Amino acid sequence: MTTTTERKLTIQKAIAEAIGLEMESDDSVFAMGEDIGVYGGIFGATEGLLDRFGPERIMDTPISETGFIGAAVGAAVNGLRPIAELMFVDFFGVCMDQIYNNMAKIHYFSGGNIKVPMVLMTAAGGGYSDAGQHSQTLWGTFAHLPGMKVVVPATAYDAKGLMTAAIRDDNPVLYIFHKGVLGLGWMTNNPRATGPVPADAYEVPIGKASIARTGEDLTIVTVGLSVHRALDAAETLDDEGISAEVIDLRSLVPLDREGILASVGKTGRLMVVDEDYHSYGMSGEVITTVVEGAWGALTRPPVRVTTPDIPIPYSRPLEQWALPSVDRIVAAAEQLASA
Amino acid sequence: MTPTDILMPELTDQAENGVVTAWMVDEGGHCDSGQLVAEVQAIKVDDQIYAPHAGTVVDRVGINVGVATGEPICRIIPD
Repeated sequence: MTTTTERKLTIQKAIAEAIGLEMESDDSVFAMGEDIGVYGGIFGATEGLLDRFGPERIMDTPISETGFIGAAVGAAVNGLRPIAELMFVDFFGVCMDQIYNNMAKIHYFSGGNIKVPMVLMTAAGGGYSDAGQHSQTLWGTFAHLPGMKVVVPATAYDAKGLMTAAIRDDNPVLYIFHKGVLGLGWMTNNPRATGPVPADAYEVPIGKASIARTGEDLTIVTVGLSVHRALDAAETLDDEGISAEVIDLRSLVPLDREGILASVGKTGRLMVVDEDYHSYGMSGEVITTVVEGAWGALTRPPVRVTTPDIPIPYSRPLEQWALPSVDRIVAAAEQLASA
Repeated sequence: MTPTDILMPELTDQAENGVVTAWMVDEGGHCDSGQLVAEVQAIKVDDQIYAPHAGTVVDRVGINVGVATGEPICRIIPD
């Protein structure tokens, strides 16, 4: 009898594994942030690394985001490969000068002579009543600003491969993980957050979307936790005879416009599901991409299911109303597929 | 060798039950010695369960189902 050993990880452990493997193979890789050492990261993305690599390479920092992100930028321009963790993406306000005027622009300012090979890792997303300054996704805000790649994994396999690619990339990469897909017990449990992950290091290319589910009648373009919401919705729609294709963008910058156009070229109907705010964001960019590049293929006006332009509510019923739920996706898809 | 019952550990003296939050091996799947098999949690205390020996994982309890401390969450049948 042959026995094949299964190997699954949660997304949280897949991220930590990617960082550990790169730290083993490259002495210039190190990590810094609030509670990333002894505590292992409040979402576990650096769990176990302090014991393996010590406090010189897994650095707990004071609560000064502008200080340690600035230090990471300085280390990166001097040839190291730092990973800085901004505990919640919502905290970007106190350190945006380091992120946007330094991390993202130094390569340009130096005429291409200086590289900033750093990863800024951060947690995003709502759904667990953490209120309006701990629940945003905000990836559209960063994707709007030139100079950095913006990565958002939805599966454990991609989480590890995208982190490996981000660390090895000579450009600054903002790596945003949604708290709802990490496989954390105290979050709403998402069974898809756990998946097969190879033990060795590998890269998932940044800028290539994946087809999470193939379909014929309409295309759902999304990212992060909403990939799983869309997959749940697609199962319901399948029972109703509506075949939905789900595109997981995996990164907002670069945006896989060709992958989006190819899918809409096939289905003729586009829905964008984005947990980020409705206006001036990813949903508008994806729809514009299709309007500019595949206008003739559209058989119906595109639709979007997003978070309305309001602060994320603390109240559980209000928050659930605001987020792009499976029910909202199903209802919008039924309308899009009719006629 | 006889099968090993894998028990819910005492995660905290504040709770009599714990839950499995994630299975890393399918029902009937194979694990190596020392491999991560499950993550468990009580209140907000969590822990990892590693396989004491290689074998086939059977009789898994459900995700998020309360299991009393000291009761089995699965059984590992040695190779």
